[in-house]
Amino acid sequence: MLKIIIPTMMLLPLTWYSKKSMIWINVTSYSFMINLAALPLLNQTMDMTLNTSLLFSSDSLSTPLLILTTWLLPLMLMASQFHLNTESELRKKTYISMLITLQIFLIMTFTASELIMFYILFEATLIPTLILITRWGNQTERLNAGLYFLFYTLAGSLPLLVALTYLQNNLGSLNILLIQFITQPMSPSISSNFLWLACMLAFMVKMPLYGLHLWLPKAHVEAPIAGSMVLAAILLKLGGYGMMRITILIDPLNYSMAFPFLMLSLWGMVMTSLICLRQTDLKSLIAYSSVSHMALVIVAILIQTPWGFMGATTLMIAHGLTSSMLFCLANTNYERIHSRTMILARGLQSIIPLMALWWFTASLMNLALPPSINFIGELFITLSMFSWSKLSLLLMGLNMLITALYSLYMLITTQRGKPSFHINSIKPTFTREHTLMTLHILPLILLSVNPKLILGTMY
Amino acid sequence: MNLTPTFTLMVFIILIIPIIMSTTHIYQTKLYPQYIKTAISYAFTISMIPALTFINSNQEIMISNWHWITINSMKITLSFKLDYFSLIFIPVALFVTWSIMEFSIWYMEMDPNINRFFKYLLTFLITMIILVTANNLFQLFIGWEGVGIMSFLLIGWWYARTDANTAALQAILYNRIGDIGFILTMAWFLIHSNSWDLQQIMMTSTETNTLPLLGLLLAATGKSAQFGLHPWLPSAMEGPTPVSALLHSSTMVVAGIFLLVRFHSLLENNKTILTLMLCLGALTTLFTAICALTQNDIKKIVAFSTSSQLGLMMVTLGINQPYLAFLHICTHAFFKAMLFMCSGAIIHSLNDEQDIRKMGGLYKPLPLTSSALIIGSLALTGTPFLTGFYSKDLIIEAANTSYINAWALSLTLIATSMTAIYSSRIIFYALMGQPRSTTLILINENNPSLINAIKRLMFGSIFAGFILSNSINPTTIPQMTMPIYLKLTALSVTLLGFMLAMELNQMTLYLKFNYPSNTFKFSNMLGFYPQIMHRLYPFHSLNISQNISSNIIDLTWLEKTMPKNLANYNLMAATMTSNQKGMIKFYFMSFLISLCLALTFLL
Amino acid sequence: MAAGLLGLCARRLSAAIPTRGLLVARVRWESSVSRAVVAPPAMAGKRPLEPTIRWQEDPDPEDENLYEKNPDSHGYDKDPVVDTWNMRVVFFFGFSIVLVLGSTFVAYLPDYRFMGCPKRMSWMGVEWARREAERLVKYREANGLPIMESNCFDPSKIQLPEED
Repeated sequence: MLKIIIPTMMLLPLTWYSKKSMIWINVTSYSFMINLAALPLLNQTMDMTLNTSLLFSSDSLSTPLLILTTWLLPLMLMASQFHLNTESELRKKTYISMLITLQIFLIMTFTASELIMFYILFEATLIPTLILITRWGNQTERLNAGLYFLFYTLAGSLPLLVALTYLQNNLGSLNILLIQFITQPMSPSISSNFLWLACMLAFMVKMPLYGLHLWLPKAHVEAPIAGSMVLAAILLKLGGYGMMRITILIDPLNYSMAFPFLMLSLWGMVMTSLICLRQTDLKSLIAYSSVSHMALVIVAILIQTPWGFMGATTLMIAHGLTSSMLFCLANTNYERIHSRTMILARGLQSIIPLMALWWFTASLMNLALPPSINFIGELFITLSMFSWSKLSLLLMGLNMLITALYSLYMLITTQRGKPSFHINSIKPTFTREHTLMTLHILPLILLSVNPKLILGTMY
Repeated sequence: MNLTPTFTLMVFIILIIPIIMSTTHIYQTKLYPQYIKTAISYAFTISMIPALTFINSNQEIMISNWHWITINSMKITLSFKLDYFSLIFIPVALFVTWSIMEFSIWYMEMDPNINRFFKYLLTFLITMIILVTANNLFQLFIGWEGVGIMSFLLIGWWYARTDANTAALQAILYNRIGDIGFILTMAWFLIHSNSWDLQQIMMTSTETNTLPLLGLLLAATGKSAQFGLHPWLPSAMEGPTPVSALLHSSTMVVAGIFLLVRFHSLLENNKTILTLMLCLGALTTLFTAICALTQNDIKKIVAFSTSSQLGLMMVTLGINQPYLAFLHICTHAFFKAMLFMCSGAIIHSLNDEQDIRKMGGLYKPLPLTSSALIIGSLALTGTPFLTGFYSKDLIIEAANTSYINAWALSLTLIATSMTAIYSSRIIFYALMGQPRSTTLILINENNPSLINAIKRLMFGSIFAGFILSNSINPTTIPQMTMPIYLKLTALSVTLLGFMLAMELNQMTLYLKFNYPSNTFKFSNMLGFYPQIMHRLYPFHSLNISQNISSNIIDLTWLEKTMPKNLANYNLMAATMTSNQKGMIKFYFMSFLISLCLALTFLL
Repeated sequence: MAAGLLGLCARRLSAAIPTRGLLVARVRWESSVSRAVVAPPAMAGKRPLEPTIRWQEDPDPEDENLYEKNPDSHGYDKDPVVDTWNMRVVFFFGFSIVLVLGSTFVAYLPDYRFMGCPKRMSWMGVEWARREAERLVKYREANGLPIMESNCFDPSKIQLPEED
């Protein structure tokens, strides 16, 4: 795993020693190469993990997420190139360093095989994200957003530290490869219920579960574009990843403890989709749609079936790329209209038609059009939920309906209609933006040809 | 060597080539529509080969080629089912599309994005063919959603118009409700049959539960605009007329019926679902026929008549005659597409005037269109030996002679007579009498791409029914003998409708129109259905989302209980526990006093 | 406090003016509370002009349009040379290297997760099994053997121990 981590670390000196004009070129090309270096990890010929060392390992659950992480760094760089144009060289370099640090932490989080290390790195990812949000956000509310982001996640994950120390004491090891052999079923006492809660709460906040999601719209809306992208694409997925990892430890309790959270997620999924229908703020709409999609993932993980796990992993990757693309699109609008309000951007199709194509594709992916991987993910989750309870289809179906509605509402409000006067003089689109969208959409299409790569451990 | 799959795949390739070509410079030229039209005519010719092979030797084939994924024990491959239904439907769809494409060359001539329009139509056609040839539910669903999305794009073609956008969104919304049913069926068959392959589903589910079939019915209701989910179809007339001719009359809307036809071997053993289909179909056919009676928009009338015919197809499925329903799908495609093209030609000639009250006397300036409109209307009403007769008459006969709900039967018969009424209404208002249109309109129907397209479909509307029903063996044999009055029911009901319509027209044409009666309002306002369903439910759900889920729960309750509350408690605790109040004089005083006291005690 | 009251009164008065048909310029606003008489120019002079909207979003005043200086701009940089090179680098590394080479590499990887999951399901790799089955069917068809047999091994070749 060092062959990915060390090059990523070396990105830092590359950034700082680059000439002013070469920063973006160097870092982008190098980070693309890191992504290429991560691809061989997909060669998962074994049933187990690729145990490269005691500390790091990757299996078919973490590899897709890892590759998504490395893929997203060049995309984030390209997306933020414009709004950093006016900043000084030092600030540019600091900004890029933050993104790189975040990637280092994320790679190590996804590949850590020791749970305590996973925990530490999980917390460490907060730091660069916080700096990104509170330093490069656009409005004064960014400080509030950073506060929410930090405190929700920290307060949720502190019990996990206690639980992990306790488990380490009990089991003797917290190595992910080992725990599936040494773990014992938990006793059905009240204290083990609390243990279950402590283990799951951190990830549920991170996902976020409905009710604990307040930090997410704020952080997404206030963050700069790279921050929104990485939050939606990867940081939320840390929660799903952690949940899937830790459910082995707390096995038999899942069946009794999961019900309230299942209900809450099913309910919250519909509620957040409904909120999307009334949003006027583009970024906030995308953020709430993330909450709704992540509720699906929570549901799928909590019912603990192979199809559910497969659906959850697929949807995580699919949603990562889709929501990141939507945020990029929102940013291209923002850079032209200087507002996130949707109604101010109406009629853009007649002015920048190619961007309308990207909007259309992204909306279709968001509403899970077959045969995209978003659809595969949602379908598998729906199937596993249906086999759990037939009535759940009512809520899932309602959510499907509303998802389609708000995705197309977003499309119609921003792209269709008569263009208003103030957008007559906006600047045309750039190659950079089209490249960015293509680089989002192509992996989605390629993966729908061969979805088994992202079906996770249960495939 | 069997050439059926080869030729069918060749049809696909021929259709995909123009889409690939859209990346070349040809896409920038004015020739692109012509290429597409030619490609479709070639595809039609080639698709006739498997169809003729089928007619000749009854050869059905299922191919499964590219292995997509195997999940646990379920294998999903790319697989095509080339059977009776798909082999007959593909040439029919291609023939109709060929004419419509030619028509669009004329109709969309002035549109700056005509090339894109053609590409959309072609993409739609491909998804439709994917839908009819799919052999597993997943692939079927790809086609199913594909036609839905293409209809969204095509209805919203004039995207700067609010009406077009809302109509497009409406179509997606109603289709999406149907999709829930489709997902339900997929989930059910996955759990109980462990497969999405059609033949495996048919084999494993011998005694079928009603639930998946209800899902199928819901899906068909959404896609085929049956009662309850019907309002999107008339709204979809906001799209360009070629779109209405292709999607909303002959191909996309019959997809729901087609789905049920595909699954008829499961449906035919389940009495509950059959009765449901019968009643739903009867209700749809009557309700939409009533709505058609008083519409003034020529496209809306034709749209409602499409909806009514879809209801009739559903009735046919309800009396367990899937092959007859399929025959009606095929025959209906010809004359309904032609009716739309005629109304498109009229609308175009009158400078985008759609109101039939402002037409009149068009048989002189538009002789060919007028005769085509009359032939189409006659075929629609089931005049003997025109295309519609061969399926519609059989359907009514089969309904008459089978064990059937008398209520449903009478609804169907009334709707059949209403078909004649609204058809004659179009003819009367648009073609006969004095011109009521604005003057100075250059009416010209001499463009070959208009004439040829209409002519071709006119031949289809006259002969297709005979050819289709003559060359294909009836698979479920309808009742052969019946009393003469039952045999003549369909005809006499239609004649009655014609006579009534003419009588009423003659009687009331010059009467003073006071104020509309309640029955007129019911019919004209589409049964108040859109008024109620499109106001009440969106209003309440949007209200709920604003007030409850956004304001009360998200912005107030969750915000107050956790972060704000915590902050308040923190503040309170901080003020309670801290000694520092900033009272400097007091502190100094206490310091002084204690110092003095200490000094006093020390001294 | 007084200023707020004044403002309130002034607004009320100005709302009442059109109904009374008075010209705005001539009115001397009189507060009923403080009995202060305020003429409009004096009001304007007292308060500093405040912007009507507090400009929060996008603090940069000017919106830089890269197309103005360089009509062929790709949106990467102001300098045309750097801009072009950045575009080329992204296309080469992003598309040519990662997407084309990478997806070719992934497509030709050996069977993904050959063995299946050990704990919950223990079947063999499904793809491998399918391929082997197809090979076997082809072999049997070519040699005229029945496609399926109840015996997994040829019974004649199995040597059972003697029955005692």
